[in-house]
Amino acid sequence: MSSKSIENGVPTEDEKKVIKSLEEDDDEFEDFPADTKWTVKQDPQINPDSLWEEDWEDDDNEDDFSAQLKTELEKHRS
Amino acid sequence: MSTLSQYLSHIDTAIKTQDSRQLSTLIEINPPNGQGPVRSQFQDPNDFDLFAVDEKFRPVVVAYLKLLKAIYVVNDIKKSFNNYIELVNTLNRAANTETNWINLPLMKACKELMDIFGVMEKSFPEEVQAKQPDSEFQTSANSSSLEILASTINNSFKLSLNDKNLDLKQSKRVDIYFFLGCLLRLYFRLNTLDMAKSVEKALKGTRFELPKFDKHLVDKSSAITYLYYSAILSLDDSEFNAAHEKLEQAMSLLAYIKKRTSVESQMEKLLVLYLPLTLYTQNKYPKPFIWKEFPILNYIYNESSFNYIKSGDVNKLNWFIQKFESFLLKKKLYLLFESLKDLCYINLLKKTVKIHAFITDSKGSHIVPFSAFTVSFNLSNSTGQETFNKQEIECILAVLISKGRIKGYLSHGNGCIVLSKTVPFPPLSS
Repeated sequence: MSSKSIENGVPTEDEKKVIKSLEEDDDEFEDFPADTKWTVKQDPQINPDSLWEEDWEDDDNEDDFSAQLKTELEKHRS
Repeated sequence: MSTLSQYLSHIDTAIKTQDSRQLSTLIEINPPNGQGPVRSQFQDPNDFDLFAVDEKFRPVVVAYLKLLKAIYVVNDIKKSFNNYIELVNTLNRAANTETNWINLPLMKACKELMDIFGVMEKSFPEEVQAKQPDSEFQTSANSSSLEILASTINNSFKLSLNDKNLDLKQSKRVDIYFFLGCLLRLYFRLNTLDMAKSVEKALKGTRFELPKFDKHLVDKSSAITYLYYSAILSLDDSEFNAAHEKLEQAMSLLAYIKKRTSVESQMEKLLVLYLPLTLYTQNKYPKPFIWKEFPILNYIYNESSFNYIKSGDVNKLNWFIQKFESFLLKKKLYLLFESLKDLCYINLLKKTVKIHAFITDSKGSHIVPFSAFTVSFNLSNSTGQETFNKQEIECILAVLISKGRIKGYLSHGNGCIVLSKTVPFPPLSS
């Protein structure tokens, strides 16, 4: 299972700032700057067609949780 | 241009030649060459003075000169706002029978009106949402300044929507996303989502062509703003596919930006909604550069919620939903995350099936007892207060089968699920 989860310990100062900023975040969509420039070609990196990873499935069955699950299922089977 | 008659003559020429830019300059509050203070000193035009101007635009001129006096002579922001409302109302009436050359002056006036409102709000924050029963220019009894502003912009929007010109390029509809973006923003501020949805309904109901969200769209900023608010309305109705489609269009338009660092804030707002919607509707995960560019998204999605979904960690996903409840509710993402639990369940089921196959005869790996899932769900939920029994597991499996997320059937008598041998867990997008 995930090991970098934020609830594993007391939130750091940076994490506290993030939670605060999320709670205080203004819902309003800011106006684009008046001098915003547009081009005729899309930025390939943020084009929705190429924004995604090929495969994100979790195939890791070697993590702590999987090992624990394997033990429990074996126990359960016997 | 230093006299009233010269000013009126310029106005008349701009109208006769349909010179959008010139008319915009002639009715803006801060015109070039210090003309604002000069115009504010003009005497009030009488009928004889106004005879030089097209009849429809005479009230516009009167309202404009009154506005300049409120700004430069009286220096009263509340009066300026009320006078600007009057100016836009008169402009709306004059624009009714004009072609789309009038769009630019009208859009600039609406923009300035919203800026004036912003200044007034900073100076008198408690008053802008308060009702104004004695307001001289209110459009309806007991309306707040914000409501009056929304009502005025709504009239400009209707003017654009109801233009029956079949040729989109010649129609006032060509700039409809500007008015839509402004209007939805105001309705969100007023927290009147029903009003915003009625605008969407009117838009859907039109039989006339609207500008397409493609590279030819001139005002991409307004279209993106509109699509953002429109997506939130879809999210509010749990229409996840529609919300996803709108945000995809918005991101596609944003990809035409020349320098994306200048619009990081707007991009982050879109991605906050777009990433979980894409995970849910398309089962797609963003490339790592997104997490590097947007640390907050990395924190709330990559390192926490998405990671829990990916690893099938039901307990931590529940923890996340609880911890960030106010944020998720504010962004209308709460129900989406409740639905994302399905994906979390699927990933936990996949893991269980795989390990179960490993420790049993792999030939029978498509038949898995409910008890195996009970073990894995309770293990995943070890720190949680709830526990899963076989009935609950059977129920979760039945729901996932009915949603098409699992291919197989339940055998209640044998206490097991029989999974499809070929595609037990079909891709979500199928």
